Amino acid sequence: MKGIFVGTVLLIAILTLIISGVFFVVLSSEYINLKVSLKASEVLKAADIVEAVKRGLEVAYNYSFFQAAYEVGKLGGYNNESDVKEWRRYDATYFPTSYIENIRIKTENFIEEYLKALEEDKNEFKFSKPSVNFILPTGEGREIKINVSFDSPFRYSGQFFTIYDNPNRTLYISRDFEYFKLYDIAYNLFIDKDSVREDIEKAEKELDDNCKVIYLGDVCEKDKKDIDKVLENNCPSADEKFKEKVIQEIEKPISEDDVNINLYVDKIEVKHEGREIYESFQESSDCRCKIIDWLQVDNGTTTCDEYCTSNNYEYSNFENSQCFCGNCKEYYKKYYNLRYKYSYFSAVRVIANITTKSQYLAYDATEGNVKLRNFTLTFNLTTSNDYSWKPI
Amino acid sequence: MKSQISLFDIGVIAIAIVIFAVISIFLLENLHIFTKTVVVKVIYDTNEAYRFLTSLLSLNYTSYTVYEMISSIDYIDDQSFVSFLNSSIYYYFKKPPSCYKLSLGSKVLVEFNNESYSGDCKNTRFNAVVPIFVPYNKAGLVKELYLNYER
Repeated sequence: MKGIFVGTVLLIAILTLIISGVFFVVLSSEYINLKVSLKASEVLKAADIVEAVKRGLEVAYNYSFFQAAYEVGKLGGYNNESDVKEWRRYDATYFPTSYIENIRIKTENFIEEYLKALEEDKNEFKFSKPSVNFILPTGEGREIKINVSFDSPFRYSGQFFTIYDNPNRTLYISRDFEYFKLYDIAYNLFIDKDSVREDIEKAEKELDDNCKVIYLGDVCEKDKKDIDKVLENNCPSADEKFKEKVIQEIEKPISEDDVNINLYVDKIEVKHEGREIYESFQESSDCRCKIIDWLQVDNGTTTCDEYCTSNNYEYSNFENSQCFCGNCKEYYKKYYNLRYKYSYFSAVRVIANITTKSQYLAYDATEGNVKLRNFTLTFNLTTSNDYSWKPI
Repeated sequence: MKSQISLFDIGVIAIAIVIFAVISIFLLENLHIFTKTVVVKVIYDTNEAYRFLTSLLSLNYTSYTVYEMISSIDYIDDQSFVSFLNSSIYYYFKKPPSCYKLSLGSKVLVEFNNESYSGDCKNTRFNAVVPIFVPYNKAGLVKELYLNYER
């Protein structure tokens, strides 16, 4: 009996040891499993965050490009206000040939800002410096390729792991994107030709005829009136009228292709120049006498005037108790078919706003908000219908 | 001395050990499988919302991705997109969820609460948050997109 008792105790002791051992091993193993699983979960979670960021990179690059295009357009193709130049100064032109490079630089800066903002928001992310390259279409190509590349992959540093991935992307912007048309159209209108000068010339043509040519007929030189007074009588405030016409012609809105063109006259100077045109200019007995050939006579008891008239003299003059009779030696000249012709000149400083018809999301620093906006190319130009006259 | 273990005792112990060992192996294996399943489910659950959110962002809406639409939602009023977002989330669940809420920063984009659910769908078991790039501005270029739901 004693043997069975000892055996049972031993059996219970052994079983207890085995069970506790098994439980210890199982529980610790499960604890390790749980820890491994939680770490695996962290990795998976990080992978999803990285995935979301990767999805967003192209969006951020796009926003950067559009913002850069908007800002460069507002500065007339330049990067900074201090660089801004008039596109035209009379016959000298200054087209911002580097506008694509300026957009590229700004795009690069904005992308950097986006990535810095992400790094500040999520400390786990680290990006190297981005580099943006524009590849312009050649031949039949219709797309501008924008390559955004980095020296190294971006990094997501977890507590015990690091994920590396590729932030490089290529954006494709259609050459038909209206924004580039702004530059093409502006170049054609204001650099290749001077459409503002043409507007001034058109305004002059459209002036009333009586402001441009005044017919005076045959006029003796002595009776000829001042050219400006004649203009004032026939076409009062001619310069003001011309100024109004010029402004009206320049500020007439134009819609071309997919863009709207609006010009505003910032400063204007006008003047006119008159000149005489006539068929011939010669002495005429119709005009008054210019030089009289006087002859002293003895008029006796008759009056000097009667004496001269009865002796077929045209003129008489009694002076210092002496009588003079005379005939005309030279008459004043006469203008035949005299016309006054007036030319008008205007010099203007114009603010050009060329805008897309479509709208794109952009931030405007002046208004301090983001909204759908027409992209605008804004620049100034100064010109006149006579490049040698530069009053502005 | 009869204090030595009898042959009978040894036989009993041996049989008990064999039976215990056989049962233990099966029991442990089952326990292991059970705990593994639980752990896998925990991993699945903790990442489900992230997977859901990432795949939601990849969906296409008209010619844009949901990512692009959400990132510019403050500036483009498109009610049909909100409906699209709502149905995309609602039909993700096999049976109607207790609640779900998708928010960009402090702005709630879509929200659903079952009649039986009384909470504000904020501190839910399933949740995910990812950074979203928003249109260029001076206030901030990155916002948090939150997805919370309760099955």
